[in-house]
Amino acid sequence: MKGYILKHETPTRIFHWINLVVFLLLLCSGLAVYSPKLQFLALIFGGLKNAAAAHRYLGYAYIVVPLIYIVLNFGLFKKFLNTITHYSADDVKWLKVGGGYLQPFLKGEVPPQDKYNAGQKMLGLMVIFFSCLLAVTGLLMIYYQNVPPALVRWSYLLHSFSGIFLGCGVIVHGYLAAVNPSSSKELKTMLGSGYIEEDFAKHHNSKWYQQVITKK
Amino acid sequence: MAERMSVLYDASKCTDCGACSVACKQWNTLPAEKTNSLQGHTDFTPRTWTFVSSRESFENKKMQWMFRKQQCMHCGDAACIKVCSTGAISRNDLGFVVIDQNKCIGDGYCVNSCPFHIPRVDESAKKSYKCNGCPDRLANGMKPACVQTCQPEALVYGDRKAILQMADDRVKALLPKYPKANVYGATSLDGLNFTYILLREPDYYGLPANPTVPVELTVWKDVFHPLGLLMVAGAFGMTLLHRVMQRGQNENHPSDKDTGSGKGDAKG
Repeated sequence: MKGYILKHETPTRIFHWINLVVFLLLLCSGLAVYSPKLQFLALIFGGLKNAAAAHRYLGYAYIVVPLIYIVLNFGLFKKFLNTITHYSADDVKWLKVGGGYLQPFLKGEVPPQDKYNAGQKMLGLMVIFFSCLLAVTGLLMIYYQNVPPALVRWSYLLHSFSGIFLGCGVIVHGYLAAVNPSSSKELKTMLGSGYIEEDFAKHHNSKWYQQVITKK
Repeated sequence: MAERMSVLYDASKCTDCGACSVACKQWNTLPAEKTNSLQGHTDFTPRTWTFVSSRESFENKKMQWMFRKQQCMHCGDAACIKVCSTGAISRNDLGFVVIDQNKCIGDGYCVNSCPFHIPRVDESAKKSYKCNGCPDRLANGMKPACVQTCQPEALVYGDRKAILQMADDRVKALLPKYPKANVYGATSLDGLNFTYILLREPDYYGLPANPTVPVELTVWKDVFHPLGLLMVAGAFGMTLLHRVMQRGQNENHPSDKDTGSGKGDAKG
């Protein structure tokens, strides 16, 4: 495709959407059980009891789906992990100016970014860390009869905190990648062919763009 | 609010006949369950809400055989009410803690939070069960089934103040023979609605000396819970606010020409 470069491979895109749907369903059923004020969310599942049951099964999916992706596409996962664990001075600067998204409160030049900007890198790390925490505490809560009660009670606290923190992160990520006009082109790329406009990449991920161009 | 009521269990009068357990099953139409010992039930199940546990010991060349009727203690400050995710557990007018089975989803939060480890979840029905203090009987001016049937009058039902007075008097009478006799549940957890007269220290009976609502539950429900709701609302609210504010801005922001800009203004 002329004027476009490949950003997300097919397995990554499929995994991204399956994982997102599973996560959002988990978030809705989780929030329904989290507070009586949010019980209306259980209507998606046809009642609170079904929501709780669905939450358990979806929880297993949330563990298995990423594992399948990682095993089948270890190279891609390694590259992604490499990107999100390396931070340069530009990333620090990006965080200082809020990626330019918080104007007019945070002003300043937005520094050149890698394939993922500093915010996306941090979200990536947060997703991996809190998902692991959610998986462990979730399993403790499902198999509570074989676990010391005190451990299960701490799991309640950690599980709901991780879920809500991650939920907030995903809300902001979804807003910036799909709604906010200056960055919403990401949605079309992730949902479509995986290719992104060169011009957009040059603006948003110039370091990565240079790498791709020199390789060509 | 009606006057707070209470049940007094006097371990010095109990004979471990097990009639309370049978009466409980009969009134609440709970099926009998096989037990593996002559003692009868040794633990709670979704269908066994009360039983008498016993402990033998041989001290100072004297045989001692101590009984304790076990059931929900109906705490004044109940951890299960605090932790219940669906609001299914509540305290009724008389001070007894009841589970609304229509709201219960059997997630087992109450099981792990109870300082006495009383409730049990029926995993196939996904419902949690425990003693409910026979609210249907009490509403009709009757005593709880276990109290009604107790032959040696080890169980007494009545006004909480009178019960506590009765307990104090009884312990005073017991002290010469049982120097460790004490009233259990008068003040802990805002007062337990089942008051025990014990002949030994609570530890001996397997009871916590100072039952409390676990601190992690307080942190979770009183601090984090409202904060979590605020975080979700905040994430939605801030993105919405961001969207509205960007809409008002000049579409052709000067900084848009710079390379590497991820500005939040609309490019059209």
